[in-house]
Amino acid sequence: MIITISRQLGSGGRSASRIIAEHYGINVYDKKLIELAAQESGLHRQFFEQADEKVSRSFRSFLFGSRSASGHGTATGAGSPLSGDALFKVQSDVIRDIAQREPSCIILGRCADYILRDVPGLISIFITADLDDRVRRYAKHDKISDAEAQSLIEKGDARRASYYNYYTQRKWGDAAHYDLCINSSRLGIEGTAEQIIRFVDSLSAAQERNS
Amino acid sequence: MTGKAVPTELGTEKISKLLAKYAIPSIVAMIASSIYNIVDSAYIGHGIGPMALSGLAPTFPLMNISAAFGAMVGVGASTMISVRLGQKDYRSAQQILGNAFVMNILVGVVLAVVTLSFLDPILLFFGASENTLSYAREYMVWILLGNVFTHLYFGFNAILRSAGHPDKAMKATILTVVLNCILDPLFIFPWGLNMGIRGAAIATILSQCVSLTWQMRILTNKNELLHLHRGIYRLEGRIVREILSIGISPCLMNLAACTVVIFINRALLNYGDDYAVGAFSVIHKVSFVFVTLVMGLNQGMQPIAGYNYGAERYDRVIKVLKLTILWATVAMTLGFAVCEFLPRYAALVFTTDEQMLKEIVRGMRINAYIFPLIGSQMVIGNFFQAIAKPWKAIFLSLSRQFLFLIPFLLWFPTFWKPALDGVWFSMPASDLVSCITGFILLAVQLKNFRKLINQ
Repeated sequence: MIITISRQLGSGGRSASRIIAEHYGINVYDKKLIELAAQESGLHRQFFEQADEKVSRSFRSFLFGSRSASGHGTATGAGSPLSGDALFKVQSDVIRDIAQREPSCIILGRCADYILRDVPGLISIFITADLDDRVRRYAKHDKISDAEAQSLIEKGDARRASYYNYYTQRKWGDAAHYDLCINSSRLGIEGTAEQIIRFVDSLSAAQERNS
Repeated sequence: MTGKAVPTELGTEKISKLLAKYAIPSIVAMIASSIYNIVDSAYIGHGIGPMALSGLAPTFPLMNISAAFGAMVGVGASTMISVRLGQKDYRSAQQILGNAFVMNILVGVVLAVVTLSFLDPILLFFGASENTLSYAREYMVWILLGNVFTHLYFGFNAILRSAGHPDKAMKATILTVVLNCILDPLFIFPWGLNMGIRGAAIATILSQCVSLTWQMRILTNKNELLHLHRGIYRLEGRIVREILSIGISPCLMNLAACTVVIFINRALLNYGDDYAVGAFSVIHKVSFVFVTLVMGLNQGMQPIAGYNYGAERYDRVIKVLKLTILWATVAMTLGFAVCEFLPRYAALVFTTDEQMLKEIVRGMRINAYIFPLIGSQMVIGNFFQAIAKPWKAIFLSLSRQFLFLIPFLLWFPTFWKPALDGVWFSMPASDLVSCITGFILLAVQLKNFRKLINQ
């Protein structure tokens, strides 16, 4: 059973996934994906870190495209291996690999729900929280002011959404594409994790009845 | 990108072999388009006359602008399709294809309508004179009427390339070039259809249409993973916005390059005459042949330098840089030799008019002074892009085409005697300054590498 958890910044998605993972005794893949991608490709991890869950829409981003102005592009279609698109391809291959090797695991973000959309039995979850809770949690974790935290959260979520929307042609947070959307402010992080576990267990039970 | 994201041979295979493997296809494609560039002008210059040749000059920036907007769709769509195909998301890829199709048509139509409405003032602004306006207009009207086909043709080529069919894209390009070479004399010359400069435009459009038909046959083949079919043509705001936001940058880069040509045309007309304007278009095309060789080399270098930089194999990075600079310098020195020692022969390809020949020879010699050095500048600029230092890349590219040229262009003729020479000399002067900046930036980067290697 492969669970992908997409989350708003500061919603406690990471903490919740750790609880769920411990409960089932499975792995959580978060920043570890960067390490694996670096290993897989031979490229230094800093490039993957820089490109993690963000796609820059600014002036500098297009400069990575090796498309020449006349529209010729590259005859080989090779382009730069350091471009966001190339790095994403590597990371997505890593995610697919993981899904094949490990029958059960949790993957956080990185468009995993889209990348693994054809995997049977995939469970996709989206965790949100009220803005106040998120600001408080973020500010406490990073030891900054509430105002700073709020602006970072808004920017971070926007970045994450751009990243997701660019690479998946879906809309980040669109309930239609997730099996379960849950607001962690209502039951707290432990409570949310419990509910998710219940949901997953029900799904497994339903699957067994049908098979 | 389909297939493996990062071919690891980039880190292990011999550098010279890699460069050959990645650069040669690009170079071949580039040579095809250089020939394409030359053919129309050569036939028009010989078939009609020097004034027609000068009449073509203001149409080039206009066609470039049109190409820039077309590329906006083509580059944006092909980038997105490439990403989707990498995720085996064929449904989305086809949607993007459909949207690109519609967008190309829309952009083509709008551009054609707007430009046709203001054609004369635009051409005059771009460097046409009363002597050359009729030629420019006649050519451009027909080009614009076929604009939609041109956009579709280039757009599909970009998409074919990113969809894993670079060979088919190359074949389409070669087909267009060959057809144009055949049709041009047939349409232009008195012994053929005798359509004059109009014939050249029609031949160009017709060749593109034939290629377009071939492309569409490929893209409507149900067995292709990516094919046109009903239902994909509905424009989706998200896709349109994404395509445009990716494509806007190559579009702007192209527009910047056009602006320079417009400035130069106007300056040449101001301090010289129509012959100077026509001469420059010839000189530009000849030097472009060699520039495209370097561009092809650069495209081959990109993945190699980028990968090895990412893998911290700085020794290999320096190696591929050196090798590329070497070959680029060879290419540009070849250009230097042609321009300095054989300018008359190069000019004779385009015209036999004595006054035009004299002007071409003079300008070509001056223009090529710094050629042997400029190859390395181009490589260095592209190198910075490959190793993910985009600001330096953009700075070097702009400094070669734009930053120094414009001020020199405006300033030199004010004190140079004769003033027209001032216009010609501004080009190698700008080349020289941009080379120096390139070498400085490179020296700093190499020092960096040495430090990293020693760590």
